[in-house]
Amino acid sequence: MEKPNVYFMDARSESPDTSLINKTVTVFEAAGFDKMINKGDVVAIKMHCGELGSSAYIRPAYVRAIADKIKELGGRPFACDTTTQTYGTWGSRVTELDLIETAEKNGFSSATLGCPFISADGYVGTSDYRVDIPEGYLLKEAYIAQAIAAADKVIVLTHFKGHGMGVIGGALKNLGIGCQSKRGKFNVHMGRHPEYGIGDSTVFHPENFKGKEDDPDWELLENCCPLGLFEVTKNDELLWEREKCINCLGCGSWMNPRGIFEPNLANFDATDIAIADGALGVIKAVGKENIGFINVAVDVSPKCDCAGFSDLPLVPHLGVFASKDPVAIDQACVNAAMHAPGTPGSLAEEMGIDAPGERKFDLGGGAIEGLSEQTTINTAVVNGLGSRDHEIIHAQPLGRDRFAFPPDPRPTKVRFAKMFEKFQPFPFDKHDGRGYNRLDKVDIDAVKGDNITVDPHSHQDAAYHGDGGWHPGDDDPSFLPNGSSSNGKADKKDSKAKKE
Amino acid sequence: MGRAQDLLEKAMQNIKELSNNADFSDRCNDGLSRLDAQKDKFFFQSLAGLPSANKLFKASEKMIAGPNDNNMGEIETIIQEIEDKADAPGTVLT
Repeated sequence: MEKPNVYFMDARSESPDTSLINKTVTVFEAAGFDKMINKGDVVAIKMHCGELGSSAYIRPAYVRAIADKIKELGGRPFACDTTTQTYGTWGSRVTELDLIETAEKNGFSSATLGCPFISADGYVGTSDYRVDIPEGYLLKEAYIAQAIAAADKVIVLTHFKGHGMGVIGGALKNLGIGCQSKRGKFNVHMGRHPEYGIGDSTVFHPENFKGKEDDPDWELLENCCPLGLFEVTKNDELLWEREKCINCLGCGSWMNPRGIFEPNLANFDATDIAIADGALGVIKAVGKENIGFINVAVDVSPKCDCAGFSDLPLVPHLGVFASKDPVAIDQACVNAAMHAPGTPGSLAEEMGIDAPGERKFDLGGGAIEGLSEQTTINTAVVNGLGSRDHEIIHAQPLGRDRFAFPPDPRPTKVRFAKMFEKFQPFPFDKHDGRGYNRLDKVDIDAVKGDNITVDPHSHQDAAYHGDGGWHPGDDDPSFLPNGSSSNGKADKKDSKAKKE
Repeated sequence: MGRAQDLLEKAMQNIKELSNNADFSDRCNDGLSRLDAQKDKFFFQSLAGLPSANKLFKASEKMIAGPNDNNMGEIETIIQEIEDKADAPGTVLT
């Protein structure tokens, strides 16, 4: 069997056509996605807009570059994310309203993307398309976000990083969680599953609840569940209607640290398997020939963009990857991370996985011990979604002309000569044509070394020393804040400068 | 035993060894009893506590190589950090 290609460009950048954003467009073309998109195609760009507070999520400029490219090809792009389960107590993407507000706060809007940003699974998260997946390893059906299932083509544009539950957040997870409706996410997370569901399988220690008096957050133990399944009784007993639990994960952050829940490896492992099944559902709903994958492996944070914070990256920027094979592209990223050194001072160092050759995500991404960065990838292989074995093709830069400023690609003289003639921004008429009041020469070496070898305030013609008291060339005291300097010294300088 | 608990256990063994040093005996024993109260918590059952366990282990090794006030203080600071973190609300999944 022929190995799938993964088109790759590293994270180095030394010219406009090797900017990471333009490299993303370059690998898009190298992977042949331009040939996939026909005139008039509605193209979904599936991205993760980031939980509020996270900062490593994909920058809007990457999404915009792909949207522009799709428009150039005659397609009609829209960017999208899906509503989430409640996950924590204060989720910021749970409804369409939350999602759009968070997306806008994180920089995603029509203005920045050049195309609409929508919630692909509707307001609550029940706008979806059910698909049978008899080939699935664990799931036998999936619920795909409606807008993704309805699109002619899908570009899965993923910020590659770690994930507490999925271990890695790559293309497969963007399909298996990100493209599922909220209803579909409950399925993938094993809600009400008899063996792997939290309600059925978690070891519950209500005796570790210390009582209302000793636990100031006790009300949150009741209020963390959207179904209200927890109750603290008058006798300080913690009750849980576990048989109704739908695995929203809203309670974990309160129950786990208190020792009320034990770590549930089976639930996490089963979810990682189910992610690959959910991914299969998306491929079936959309058609393999209609999907392309791009992984932007920069800011490779340990936990996902869904966490509401972003830690120091585990490894330095890896680069951009594109492929038609979701398994190959994720494996390529995992391999690249493994061969990279850990970022000094990062969780990689703290976990002792910073040496090149160490697996980075089992410990750096996963929240509990025993998870594997390969589980989802391997299950996807079993599901027939692709191959771990792949060929890395180094894509070549497309040349600077391709990335001229798109609204006006004319060279500088053509654009500005006439304008500058009319509205000259350089004051040629001042200081003998030199334009500005400046010293002819200064001691450059005096401010270049570790030590400053010129005395502060000794340089009379440039008396501004960052203290906000005086600006070079300004000899009008009324220009100063409140008509006077911020310190007495500057007043002196100011009057001296005036005399001169 | 999980990796974090295992490493914590090793750090505690080191601190126990250090408690034989009369100059630090009381502080080591106090640290050990404080760690004893933390070791079975979810913090160390999950991976959340591994960085702290790692730090404590390294600090205890440093103290064995050079028993002094500074190194003992470093151990105590990490124990305080563990106490602060172990009962704090977790993230989405921890």
